[in-house]
Amino acid sequence: MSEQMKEMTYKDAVKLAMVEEMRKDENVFLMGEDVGLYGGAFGVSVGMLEEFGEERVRDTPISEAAIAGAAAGAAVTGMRPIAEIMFMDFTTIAMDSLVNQAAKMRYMFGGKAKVPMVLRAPGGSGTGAAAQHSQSLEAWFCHVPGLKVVVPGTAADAKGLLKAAIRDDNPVVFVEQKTLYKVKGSVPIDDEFIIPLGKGEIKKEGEDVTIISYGRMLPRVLKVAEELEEEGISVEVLDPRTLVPLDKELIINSVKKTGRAILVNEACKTGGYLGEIASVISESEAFDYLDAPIIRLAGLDVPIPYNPELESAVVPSEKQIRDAVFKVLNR
Amino acid sequence: MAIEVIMPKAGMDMQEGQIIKWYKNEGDYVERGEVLLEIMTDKVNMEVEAETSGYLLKILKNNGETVPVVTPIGYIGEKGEEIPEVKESKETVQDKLEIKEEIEEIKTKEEPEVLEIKDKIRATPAARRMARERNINLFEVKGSGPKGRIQQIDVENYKEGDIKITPLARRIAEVEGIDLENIIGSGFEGKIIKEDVLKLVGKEEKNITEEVMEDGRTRVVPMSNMRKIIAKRMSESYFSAPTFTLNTEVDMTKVIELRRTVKEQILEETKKKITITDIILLATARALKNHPLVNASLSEDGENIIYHDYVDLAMAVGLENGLLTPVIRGADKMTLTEIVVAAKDVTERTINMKLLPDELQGSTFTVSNLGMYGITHFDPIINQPNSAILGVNTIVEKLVPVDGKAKVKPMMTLSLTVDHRVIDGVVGAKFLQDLKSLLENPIKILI
Repeated sequence: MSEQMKEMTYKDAVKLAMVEEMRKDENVFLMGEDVGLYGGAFGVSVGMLEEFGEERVRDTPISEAAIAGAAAGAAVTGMRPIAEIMFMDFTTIAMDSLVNQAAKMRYMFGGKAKVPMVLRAPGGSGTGAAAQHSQSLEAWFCHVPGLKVVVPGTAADAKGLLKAAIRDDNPVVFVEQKTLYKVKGSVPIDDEFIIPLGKGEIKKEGEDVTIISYGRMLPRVLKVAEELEEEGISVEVLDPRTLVPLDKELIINSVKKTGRAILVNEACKTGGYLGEIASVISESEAFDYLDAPIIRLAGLDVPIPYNPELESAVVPSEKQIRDAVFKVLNR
Repeated sequence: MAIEVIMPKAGMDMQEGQIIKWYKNEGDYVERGEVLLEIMTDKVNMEVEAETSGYLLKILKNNGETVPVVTPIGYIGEKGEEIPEVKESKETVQDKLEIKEEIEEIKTKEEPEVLEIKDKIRATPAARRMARERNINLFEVKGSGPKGRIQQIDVENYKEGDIKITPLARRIAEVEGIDLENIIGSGFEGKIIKEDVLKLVGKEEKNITEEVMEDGRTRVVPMSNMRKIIAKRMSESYFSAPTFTLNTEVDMTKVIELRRTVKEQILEETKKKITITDIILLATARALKNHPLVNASLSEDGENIIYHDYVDLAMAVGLENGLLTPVIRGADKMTLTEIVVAAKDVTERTINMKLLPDELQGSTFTVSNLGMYGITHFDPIINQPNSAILGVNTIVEKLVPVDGKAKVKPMMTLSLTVDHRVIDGVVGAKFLQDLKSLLENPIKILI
């Protein structure tokens, strides 16, 4: 890995990954609603139409079913499509092609077919976009064998993981975070900087408690962890980065070390992926090292409200994270 | 409103009392201060006075019944007045625990209701793993987590030789505020069980019935409370204090003379008959003033000697089925007449079981007299926290050489048992010597 780094936003890191891969491999192309002329609903693909032309940066009709279907079809024929769904909420319409076609083909054709497609979709609340444009639906995709699910929480991870997703021969759901798009971070400019799917990362080392978080909640957790460090509480922050496949080894070892686990995400608690992570811990040898019940801090089981006060109230706050730490430490 | 009559709590450690006799019947009128009934506590009988005037509306507990202290036993009020619905009030340790648990439950209601499984341990997986690895029985580890959950740190800090106790016993001891160090465990390997704790709070489940063994010739009779207390106190004293006994023979000629001289006068003044014992008590009180160590006690931690600038003299009074040691306060300041009155008073009230509990506590020295039974010598056991006890024996006529000739003299042996932690041989001997001298010249005790 090159040591050369560049400060850039999460959004630009996503674009850099796409641009680098499109320059390297002519089979890689981008399609989606307003990704060309407009540069994407959140401006992720600004300038890409100019560099790669309409053949490789394709504006599509307003039909997520068509986008996903075309992507799956193109992928089976040997292309490596990147399909953008403007809001993650709209993946509902793309579900059939994704779940019943893309996810199944490699298995049903005995490995003779591969489906190297990436479905990029920004998720999460915090932008005042209300209940139909703010959901975190990653758990749905995690439940479908054949799909890989990635949720980067930093700019560097966004670049390294997206490049790995594009190069992967399986369909990957790449969940971007709307509220992180403008957050800056140090990103390696090496065009071979790849973060393998299925590799989590300890974002901060600690001894007393492991907080496992990803996506939008990650910076929030890190902030609380730094504050607690000054108060003498050593928090380890673990970002799995990829939900499927999950880096179980990293999680189990961390929880074995600290004996306590708090899981934080933005998605609704019930049926959410935190339950899966908690179960992985309980079923593993880490169970015998638990010195407190595992705590899940997740979004409330409600549609995301439009009122900004309520919108921020339904997702885990810094205070809730702090309180959870004190609770598992019996303080 | 009808007023409750309750079983009074007549002493710090009184847990229950028995109703000997109601002096009033239901419907009788009683004046405030009038004797309503007589009860028996662990050690004494006492009269319970009406705290208010009115009609005895209801007797809830009858003669012979034993009830916990502060339990309502009757109601006084206006004629025809309704009495509150009578509910069985048998507050036991168990009840108290349940009430406490209820309160805690309410406090923690925000958590979803979870079935509490008794006899199962609340411990984290990490604590269990460590206990497994170190071969530690989690029942013996006290949890520091929420709801007493045993955390890994608790197992880590657990040391072999910690007090072994069942969770229930630990809980009761906590509620009753009993220091675990003071409980002797009777369970497996000395583990403290529920009964051990209950014994200390005086709540043991009673089983007074006498049991005849299979052979028909052996009976097992539970001890009375008094017997138990005597057994406990005597064992404690005997097994904690290293003692020895000093004996000396006293010529009682002049004591007998003195008694004969003052007998009529004292009888006239006080209607009480002076005894030899009274004179011995006074002489002892006088002698103790000059021997403060013999009148001292050892502090509970065994590191200090507590001196008393007064003499509170206890005298052992034998009863049909036990023994009590009522105290004569300030015996050193008394005249012979006063001590005659005081000694008679407490003796009579002891025999009639009318002493107040406080009259049995706080002595500085004890005298035990077995002379009337012809005993010539014995080694009494110290009445703790005293440091010594004087055994008084019978007066025997003996041939004593006086100026080379045999003379018949009334001789008596005094036996002084001392606690060697406080009193050395010389100190005890000097006290006995002094006492002997006072008794052989009893005029000195009158000055």
